[in-house]
Amino acid sequence: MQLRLNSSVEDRQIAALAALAIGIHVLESVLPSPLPGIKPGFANIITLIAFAKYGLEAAAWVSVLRVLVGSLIIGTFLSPTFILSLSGALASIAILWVVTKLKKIEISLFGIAVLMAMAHMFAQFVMVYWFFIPHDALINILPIMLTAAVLFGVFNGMIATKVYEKLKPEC
Amino acid sequence: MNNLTSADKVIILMSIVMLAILFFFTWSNTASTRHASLYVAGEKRYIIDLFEEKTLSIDGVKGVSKLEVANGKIRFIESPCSTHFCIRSGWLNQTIGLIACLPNGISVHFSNENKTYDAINF
Repeated sequence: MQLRLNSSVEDRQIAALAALAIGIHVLESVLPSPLPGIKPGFANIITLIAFAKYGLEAAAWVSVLRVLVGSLIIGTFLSPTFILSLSGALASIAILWVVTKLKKIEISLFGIAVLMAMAHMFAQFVMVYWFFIPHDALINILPIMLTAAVLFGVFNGMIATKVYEKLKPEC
Repeated sequence: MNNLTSADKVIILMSIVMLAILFFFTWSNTASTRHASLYVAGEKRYIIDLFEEKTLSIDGVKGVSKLEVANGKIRFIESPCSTHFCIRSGWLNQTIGLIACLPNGISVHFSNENKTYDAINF
């Protein structure tokens, strides 16, 4: 008896984007970072493109799949790293949801990238404070992390807009 | 960078402003706590108001240590230990977090009531 999974076109599109995001995530994990938790987050570019092309649900799928499968590949599944990664991804998806609700305000991928990066970093900071380091001095690292988030968010936003422009004609 | 909408510019401007405010609040020396906890031989003995100028004489395990409180800060000025690391630590601040005279069993740090641990590791 054979089990057949009928995949729709959307499934395949999301799977392709998710695979790309997972690849970028895993490859980026070899880059050294100056502080634990500061990483360029290039996989967010794929999430942004998924959001721009296919909408919120696809972006959410790509993001969560990237966190899950990426952690399985790297070997940090269900570790504190995974919890932080997941909370950051969920927070950035929540920001995407807020952006979709604000239909009248036009935000380009650039601004969305910055918002997602800041939400991601802030959510990770809150999780670290609650569960891992409830020390008052931790607040001192928040501005540094948020600065890195804004800088990398700007950078990722630029890349995402460029890539999306090249993608649009083929559709 | 070409088609930045006005919302984008608002977002970036507000994030820069927020960062500046955060940096100011967390890294300037004006953010200080008002009280310090003093422990003798492991048990909490005193809570010291750092904004009253005074000199404390505390009976430790080995002798009497004198601490000076001035201007929201506290430090050891006399101690019966031989190496005087407590005095050499200087004023208690957020960076070091703790000043202590170990031979005498006296330690001072900022008061925080509800934390059971500083950090947890897996």
